[in-house]
Amino acid sequence: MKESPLYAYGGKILRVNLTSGEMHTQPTSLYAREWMGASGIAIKILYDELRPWVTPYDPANKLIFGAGALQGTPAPGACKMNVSSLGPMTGGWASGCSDSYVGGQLKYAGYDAVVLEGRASKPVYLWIENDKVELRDASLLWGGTTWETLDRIREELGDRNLHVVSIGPAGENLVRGACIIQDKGRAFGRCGLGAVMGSKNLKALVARGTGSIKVARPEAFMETVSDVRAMFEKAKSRDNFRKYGTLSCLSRKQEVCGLSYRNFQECAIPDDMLQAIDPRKTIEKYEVSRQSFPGCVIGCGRHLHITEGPYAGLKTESCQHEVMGTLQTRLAIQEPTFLFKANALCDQLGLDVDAAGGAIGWAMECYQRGIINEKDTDGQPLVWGDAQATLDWIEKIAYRRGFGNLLAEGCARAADILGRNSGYYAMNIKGQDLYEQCRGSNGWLLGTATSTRGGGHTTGAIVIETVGELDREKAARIYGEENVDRPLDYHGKARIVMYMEALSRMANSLGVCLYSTTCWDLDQIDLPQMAQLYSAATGWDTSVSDLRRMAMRQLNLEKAFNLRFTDFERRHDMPTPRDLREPIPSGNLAGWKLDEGKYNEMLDEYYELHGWNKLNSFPKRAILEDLGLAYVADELEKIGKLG
Amino acid sequence: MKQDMPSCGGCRTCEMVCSFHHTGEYNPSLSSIKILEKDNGAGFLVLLLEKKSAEGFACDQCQRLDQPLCLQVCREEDDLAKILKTLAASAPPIDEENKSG
Repeated sequence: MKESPLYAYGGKILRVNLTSGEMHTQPTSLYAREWMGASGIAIKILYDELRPWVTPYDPANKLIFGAGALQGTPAPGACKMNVSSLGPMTGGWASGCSDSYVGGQLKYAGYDAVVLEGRASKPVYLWIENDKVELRDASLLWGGTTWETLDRIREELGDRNLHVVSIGPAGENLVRGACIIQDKGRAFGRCGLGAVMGSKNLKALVARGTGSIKVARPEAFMETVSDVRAMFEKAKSRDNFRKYGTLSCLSRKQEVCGLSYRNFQECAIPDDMLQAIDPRKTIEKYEVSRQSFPGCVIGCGRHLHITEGPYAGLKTESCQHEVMGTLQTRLAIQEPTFLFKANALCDQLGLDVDAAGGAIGWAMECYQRGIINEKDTDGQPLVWGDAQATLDWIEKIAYRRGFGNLLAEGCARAADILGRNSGYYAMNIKGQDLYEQCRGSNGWLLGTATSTRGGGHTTGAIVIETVGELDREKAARIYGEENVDRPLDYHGKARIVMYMEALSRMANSLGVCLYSTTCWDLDQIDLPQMAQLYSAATGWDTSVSDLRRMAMRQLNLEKAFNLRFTDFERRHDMPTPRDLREPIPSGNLAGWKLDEGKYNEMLDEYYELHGWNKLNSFPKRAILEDLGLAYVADELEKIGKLG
Repeated sequence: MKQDMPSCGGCRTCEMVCSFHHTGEYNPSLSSIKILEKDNGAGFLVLLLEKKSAEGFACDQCQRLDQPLCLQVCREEDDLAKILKTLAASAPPIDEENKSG
């Protein structure tokens, strides 16, 4: 029987062995039906092909660039590419998405993913132009920043419209929190994916494609695109989000004690600081133009030109709230343009802003408490609010210089190495630096603590919990529980986290930006719209329950992958010791403390809903078989980790 | 015809829908509209092809539609509309051969 054509996809997966230089392709159809795309296909390949003895920097580790299943089409918000691997930060599943032109170009070139293995004998970059795939010498690029790399590659290949993903010095130096940068201003940020790329001597990946992406039902697809775009007109968050991106949420975060001040010692910042650093004012003052990615209906990006103050002359893209939280408020820095400077520096060096903030925040708190002093810190004091010193530490981390060499390990490992009971101040989940305040938002906390990639709110946390002014009836219809916007409730949160797990996984597999979804605003893309878009694009009728099932299949495989490579169990799904022990010290929720017993009940419910064993968090055979993962159950049984 | 569009954010959704208009598929390398990088200054350059070539199809202003597809997806549609009008004023009507793809 003749196989039907594969619509919406590029059609091929490119395999490149960097050690031997060998390359071949395989059909995407091997994976697409069951694993959809991008992060979904990646976890399947990683699970099937990485043997238990592989470590993150081994040539045998694989680094997978995957375009979203809807990338390359005008599907709203479908601008994300994913990178996945076995990661050096948690030692388990590592996966990050970024806005990316490269993903679309890959698909026009005919590829849905590029799977890299081995290690090149000298620095190289991968140049993909349709069927022509070439490993090119990157010796002269090595050592350069990501910004220089983009410019030089465009010059070398003679096309100033090319798009590039690259690593900076941090990735080359195997800084555990190194990231991968798309062009100049977007990051595959977390999990240390840039360090894996550095370990392979791969400086960059460049793609240009001139082929077509076909969809199965063109008219229905375009109609759905148009309908979904129209939805955004109603979205309440739209105007603010268009102007400032997630930086619009600073004052709301202050109201709900959702900020980190002095490395999470406090959950709100001084009011005068709030006024002084208001990012809306800074953006309005220095904005020069917009930045947006394929299919995006919102357009939250901005280019800034800082014309005064200590960073006068800086031309850079704006950043999101995360940088505000993880570097500016966490380190108590008052200069309102600091976050843009720090973000630009991290992007140039290819260093995850959260890994930088996590390690420097930990060090500053250790210094405050006398756990470390100038003898440890190359003679430099480490005091809150010191903007210049923070920028110096960012550089020292990226180049692994002096005390920066320890900080380059991320806060969890740095504390293990230093000892002196400093671990309490290393705010992390599963070894990954935590960049967000979890106290006072129980659904956010549960999703963050249980995240299979370690601390972070993008794989299951209830982000909308503290947004405020929700249409409750609508929220209940979408999220399946009445109390979505009651952050201090414990009941019902496990079920909502499960919805978020499905939403984020389907968004990532399709390549749809999470911030174009109901994650943030009820009038944005939900699972039904994803199902409609995917069905029309591929011609495979796919229901919401199909999507949820696919998402749970992915989640269970991520979980099993972690069980193969780490010792994660129930205790690793717990909040940080600080979040368990300390009440919120000031602000509107002053005095509120997490109830550990109730957290554990919430966690029990979470495991029960997933079909996982409450005692150790391991998946049970029944759920794995139900999801078509009997072979995974067999393997977990062999290693004594079947729930 | 290349024109400056300082308000363009570079999402290039226009390129995708333009190629769909001409071919029924998504392929920015065939679109009549191209969003190009600038060396300096805000926004992007907008290239509109007046003649069919290896670079893509000629812009026919989506004659059969109420509103050209690129405008339908552009968040700065007023600015893009001006650029399309300039082209319409300078270019002859599009021949049928161009449409077929």
